[in-house]
Amino acid sequence: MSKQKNRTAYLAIMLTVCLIFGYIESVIPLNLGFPGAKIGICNIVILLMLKRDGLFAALSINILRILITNILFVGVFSLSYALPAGIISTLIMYSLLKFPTLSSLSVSAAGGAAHNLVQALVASVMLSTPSVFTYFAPFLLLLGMAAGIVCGIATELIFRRLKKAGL
Amino acid sequence: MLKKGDFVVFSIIIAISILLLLFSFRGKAEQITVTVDGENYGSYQKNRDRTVKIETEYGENTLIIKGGKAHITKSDCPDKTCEKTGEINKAGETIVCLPHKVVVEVTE
Repeated sequence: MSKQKNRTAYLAIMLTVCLIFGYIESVIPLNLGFPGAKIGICNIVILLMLKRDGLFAALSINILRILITNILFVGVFSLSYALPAGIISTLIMYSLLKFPTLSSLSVSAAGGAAHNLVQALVASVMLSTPSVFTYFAPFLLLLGMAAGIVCGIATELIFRRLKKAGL
Repeated sequence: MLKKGDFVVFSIIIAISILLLLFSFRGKAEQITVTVDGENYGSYQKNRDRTVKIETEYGENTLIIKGGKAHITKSDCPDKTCEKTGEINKAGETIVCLPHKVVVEVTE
């Protein structure tokens, strides 16, 4: 019973951390000339949860945080591309974690790249303009990879600390 | 912290982006083309200054072409991404307003 309560509190804390990161990113826009380019700090939490708590917990927290941050800080409209991108990148990171030859860095990089690729794809389909995809995708892929590596390093450091602390 | 397989993942991502880059439009920058929901809304000479009001069923954007550069100044969309994109003038450069399904492109 108390273990169940702990888990609820733990998941709530993880979600809250994501929301705070989402808020910070929405007030400090990183304008690179690409719509909505950001580091995606919340990816640290999601990858950490994939490693520690499994797919279901990580995916649920990610979906909830996308719903809440977009409704609160961005606008309901952005859900149409944020949600598929979040779900697909989580699934890709989950499958890549199964490979022992990959570290958090490349798992996170692939997640970031996939996230941006899906967003560019959804945008170009919504606009029925294929050139949008070919114009944005190459840069968004590389940006996603770079941001993913940054998050991957952070995730690895936090993961080791938590393990050391016996949590 | 890095493992051997990481470089495979990095190389694949870089390879895909180079491949996509080869497909993207590169030509002369002559016109500013506006597309709404996949359909041509209008093409304008890049070097002739003018203001275009893009009025659609989704909302309104104001496109300004000045000194060979184009940018969107006013949009009644919620995210204002198109305004934040700034000026475009090179071939293939694009401004997108997703909520209004508006694409502004530098074309031949």
